[in-house]
Amino acid sequence: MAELRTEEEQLDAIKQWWKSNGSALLVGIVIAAAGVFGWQAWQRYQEGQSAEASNAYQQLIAIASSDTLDDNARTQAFSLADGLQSDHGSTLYADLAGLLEAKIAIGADDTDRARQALNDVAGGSDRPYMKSLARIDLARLQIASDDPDAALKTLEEAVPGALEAQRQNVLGDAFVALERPDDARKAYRQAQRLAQDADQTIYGLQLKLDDLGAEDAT
Amino acid sequence: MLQRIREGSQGWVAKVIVGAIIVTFALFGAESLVSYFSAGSNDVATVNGESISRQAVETQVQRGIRSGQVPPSQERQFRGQVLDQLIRQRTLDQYATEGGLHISDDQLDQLIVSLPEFQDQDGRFSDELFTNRLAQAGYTPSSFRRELRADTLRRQVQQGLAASTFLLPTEKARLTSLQQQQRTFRYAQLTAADLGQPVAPSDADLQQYYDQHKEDYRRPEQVKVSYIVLNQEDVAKDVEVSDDQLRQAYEQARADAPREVSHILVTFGDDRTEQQARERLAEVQSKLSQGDDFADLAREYSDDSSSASKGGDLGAIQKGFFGDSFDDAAFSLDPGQVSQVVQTQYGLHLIKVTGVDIPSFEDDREALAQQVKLEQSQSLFNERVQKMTDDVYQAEDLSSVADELGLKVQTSGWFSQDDGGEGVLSNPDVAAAAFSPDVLEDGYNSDVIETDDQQRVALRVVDHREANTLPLDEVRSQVESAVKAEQTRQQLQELAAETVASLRKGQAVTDIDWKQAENATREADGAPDAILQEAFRLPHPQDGKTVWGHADSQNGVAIVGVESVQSGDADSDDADFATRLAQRLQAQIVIQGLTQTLQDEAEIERN
Repeated sequence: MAELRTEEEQLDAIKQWWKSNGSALLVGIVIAAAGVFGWQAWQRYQEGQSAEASNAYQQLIAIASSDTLDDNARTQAFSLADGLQSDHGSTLYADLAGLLEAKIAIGADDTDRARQALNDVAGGSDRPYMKSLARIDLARLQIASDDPDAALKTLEEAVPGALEAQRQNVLGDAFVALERPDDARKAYRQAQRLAQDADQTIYGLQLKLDDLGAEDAT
Repeated sequence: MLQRIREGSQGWVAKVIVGAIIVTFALFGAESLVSYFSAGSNDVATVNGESISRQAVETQVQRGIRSGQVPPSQERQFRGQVLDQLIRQRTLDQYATEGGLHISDDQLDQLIVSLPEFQDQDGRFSDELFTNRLAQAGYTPSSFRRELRADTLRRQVQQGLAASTFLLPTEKARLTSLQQQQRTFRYAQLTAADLGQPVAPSDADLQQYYDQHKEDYRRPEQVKVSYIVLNQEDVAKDVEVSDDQLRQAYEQARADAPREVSHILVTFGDDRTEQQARERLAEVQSKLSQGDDFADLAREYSDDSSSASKGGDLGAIQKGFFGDSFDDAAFSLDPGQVSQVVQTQYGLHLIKVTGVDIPSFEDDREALAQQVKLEQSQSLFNERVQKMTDDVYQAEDLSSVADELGLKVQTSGWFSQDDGGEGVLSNPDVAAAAFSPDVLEDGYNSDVIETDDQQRVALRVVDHREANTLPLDEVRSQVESAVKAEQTRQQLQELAAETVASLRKGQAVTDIDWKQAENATREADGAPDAILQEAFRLPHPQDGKTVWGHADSQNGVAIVGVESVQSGDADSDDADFATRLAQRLQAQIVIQGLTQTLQDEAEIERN
């Protein structure tokens, strides 16, 4: 680059540069500023949305945890859960809300609603663990409504290792309902072995095994 | 690098880089770049690319040690646990954040204000308490907020999982009916006496058993020691105490002795105001001054119904039982006196001391003398301990030390470090001293060991033997009884199997002493546990045919025949308990299951 000798020449050069680039620079600054403010506004909006979901979820937990529920509380819980699922569908809040909704519906003998809620989580969630929980619970509902074949189908898909003992336990229940004691015994034994390895306690598993005559006639 | 960027600032590549830097600074501040370049050096682990700093681990470790929950000796082990926990938490934090879980600053503020730890006596949030408590626990306000936020989000996940567990009515009915199931069965115990002839193990049997169970016949390394014991009690024997000293000690003991107390309690809050309660007690006080009986007034006025019927009598109370203000009054009164109005958490009291729970001076004399002698002998004892320490260190034996101090040298039997010896030698510090290199290998006197406040021990090793597997001849009788027990059990099992086979075929079996259990539950007391367990594990009998089985029992082998099974009552009182238990266990499984699953899936690197 050529040496610029006098102040005047330098000033001229700057003016020259401004003429050709000034407007571009200004536009750049405006765009950058708009970008930053826009981003911040978007974040504020997101934050507001998330806070709303968080509050609704906290209320839902409080209702689901109480021992006795009246119809009012139940209606409120269902509307909270619906809101979380429709407005924040992809979040973990929505998944958990689905599970909680099912539990509350079961308390009110509303099996259809419970099944629907669990189906939504099992089919709609992005999180494999939540899907598996929902499927296992769904299978239990199907056994309870005298449809153990559907339960077997629901339980076909693999679940995370930590839930396999649970899955086998429910499989066993399905086989008992289908009067297939040998398969049931196998599933319960598998559940027992897995639970032991994972340091889990599944309530009643030993009772069910014992009742099948787990000890083959010696 | 900067030079090159300037030189080439016409090029589009450089423009992009500069642009990226500007955007980064504008959005995230300079911190993000700084932390990006300085990461890695001080991390103990990374979880899915997020690092856990050494400092984070150390802070937790120090917090644990300072709180006294972790003894410093377990620091290393604790550090490992802390890191494991931080990794677990981090995976859950990431799960929560990626799942869109969120706590706003407002929600966090509300939470902090509602925590009882930061509230003053009136239940209001106190800024001062907040700052103090955080400082005590080693938090700054911002680090506390950060951790509380993460903790709250993790809790949202866990609470949601826990609250969503359920037990269906059909499941509940099935489990309860199984739990309450009743079985009717016959059983008989076969013992050694039922064998045709007692077992007679051969030498080869013994040898074989001994060879297979050599570990059971190992004797650990052992020593014999000579030792001296200095007791403060012995030193105290020679101390003279005067009557005055005894009386003084008695007065002191009396001041702290339990008081026999009666009281009149007037509560306030729901039914009356504090003012009304005070007026009520003023009425009692004026009646007392007119000579009314305290016990009668207690029956009439006291709100403490359990003591009111006994004239307000609370029995003997220790200091600290009802709180400071109650103690201050009760322990400053002489028997027969009544206190002013005293306020406690229960309400307002008038307290009357009816007696002091302490033996008379004469009855207490012996014990007092003992106690005073001990106190008086403290300095003398300290002198002796000092002398013992010096002498034991310098001497080449113990007997000269014993002579100097008027003690007796005693000799122990064999003992190992793990089991310790008899008496004072059972103290782990003493056993450890006997096996320390200085004492065991070099033959020096041990240090003086403080076994308790009033006792010191010193020792030296006089004999030593290495760990050894005892030869069969020395342990023959133990081996023999073990082999006999094993063979007896085997033969009984065979006998039981034969018997069961005959029973199944419907053949008559004689010489068996049957016992009957009618409609026994799982928790029935009648039959021994092993038999009960077997009875509930056998298949259901079909067509009234008894189902036979056998199982090891406490003193032999048992034959069990299940005759009938009765379903339990599904609506029993235990059903609700079972439901709660089932749900709690279920909650535990799904929460731990999530943690486990996230950890299995995460990329975790430990440095």
